[in-house]
Amino acid sequence: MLEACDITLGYRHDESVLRGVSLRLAPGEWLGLSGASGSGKSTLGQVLAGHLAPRRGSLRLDGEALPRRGLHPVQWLPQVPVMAVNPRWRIGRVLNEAWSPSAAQRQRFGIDDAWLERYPHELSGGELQRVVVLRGLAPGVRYLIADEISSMLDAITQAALWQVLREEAEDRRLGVLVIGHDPALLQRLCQRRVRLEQGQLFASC
Amino acid sequence: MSGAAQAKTSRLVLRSNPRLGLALGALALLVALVALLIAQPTLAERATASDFQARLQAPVTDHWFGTDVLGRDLLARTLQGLTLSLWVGTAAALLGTLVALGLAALACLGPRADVAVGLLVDSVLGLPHLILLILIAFALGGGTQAVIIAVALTHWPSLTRVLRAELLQLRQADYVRLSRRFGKSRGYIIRHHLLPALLPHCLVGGLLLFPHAILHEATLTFLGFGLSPGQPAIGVLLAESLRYLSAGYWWLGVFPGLGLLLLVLAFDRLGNALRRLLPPREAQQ
Repeated sequence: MLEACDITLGYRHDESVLRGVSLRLAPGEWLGLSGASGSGKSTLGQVLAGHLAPRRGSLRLDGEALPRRGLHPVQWLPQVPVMAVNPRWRIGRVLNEAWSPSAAQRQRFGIDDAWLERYPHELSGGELQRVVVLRGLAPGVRYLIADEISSMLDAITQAALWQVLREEAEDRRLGVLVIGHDPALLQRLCQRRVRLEQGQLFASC
Repeated sequence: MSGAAQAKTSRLVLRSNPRLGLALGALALLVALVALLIAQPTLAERATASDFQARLQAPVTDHWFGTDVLGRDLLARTLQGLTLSLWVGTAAALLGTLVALGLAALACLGPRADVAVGLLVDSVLGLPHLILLILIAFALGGGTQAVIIAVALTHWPSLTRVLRAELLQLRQADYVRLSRRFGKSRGYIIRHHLLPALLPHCLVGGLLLFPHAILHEATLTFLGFGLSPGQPAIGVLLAESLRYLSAGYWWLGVFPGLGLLLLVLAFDRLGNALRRLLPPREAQQ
């Protein structure tokens, strides 16, 4: 169980984006997080993945503090894939940075072998997003923060990406926090949904 | 692909990418210059051999660049001067780049270190460049070593600013933060993400520092604070030529000056071409 307790964080001393946010994500659970732009959804996602340190509050994984070294069990999948890859690396190297996905795994995610020799700018946003998602699924990862990962994609590519991610998450009992604006998508994907407003979480219908 | 097809593709690439052609041209020029400078020791004897029968001789077949007031071959002396400039420039640019890289890394350690490095950069940039250069060279007693140190110690601030900004940006880049979360060590991130991203800046910064270093070495020597008058440095040759230019002995200043200009331009062009060619995206455009 991933637990965030009383998380408070702001980018300025006198303002807080997150005000005492508490959240629980169980293994295998899909939790939807929505909220207006600038409400702090991505900030919360990055806190959970260890990219940002909260000003107050704590994070626990199965009752223990998250590891400071080694592979982080909570991986953040960002909205803009082009920012998440080294522009000087070829796709093969990018994909193998965290682990080495097999040819079958690459095929499941629709990653063509010909892409491996290309640079990130030679792939489309959708193609690159698939690479970033597969890279984030390293063995040892137990929770995923999917931060609007399909907002840049067309409907067909979106459906394909969520389908394959769902299968992978079910196989490995991964907990997934889906951050998004689309209520229909969140309703379809997630068993439980929450809304972030004024720095606080509310249950969503 | 067959050999002929490959050659055709290479020609097409060269034709369609003028910057690549420019870089290769500058590189060819440099290779020619370096080859000439390597062959220069055979001319060293001529550079010091005086022939009073051939004093102040205009360019002729025996002496392509003419002779100086002691009848020494100016071509040999110019080449010797350029060799010296090449070494001084390389050493000073390398040292300056290392200082810039070290200070940029220091600035990234924390806010206080950042402020301290920023103040240091602003202070050095605020001081008159040439005076600082003269003071350092003078304090170190002149000579090749003093010139290298003086040029290196006055040419790091601009590059430090560039590298510091780049490093701060890189540290916060999503892919670097993600790499950390993949469990990669600090050493791995420095080796695989930060240094390869900084290398083009260092390379270009160093190459663009090179012409400055050479010109300042010549300036210092010209003003009498640099290399000793016995060494055939370009600055020494230019300073000597001043006394005879008004008498019509133009070759004494023109050839060493042109040699210096050519060397500086070659490095400047090479630096600019590399700056555009190193990022994979721009290299393919």
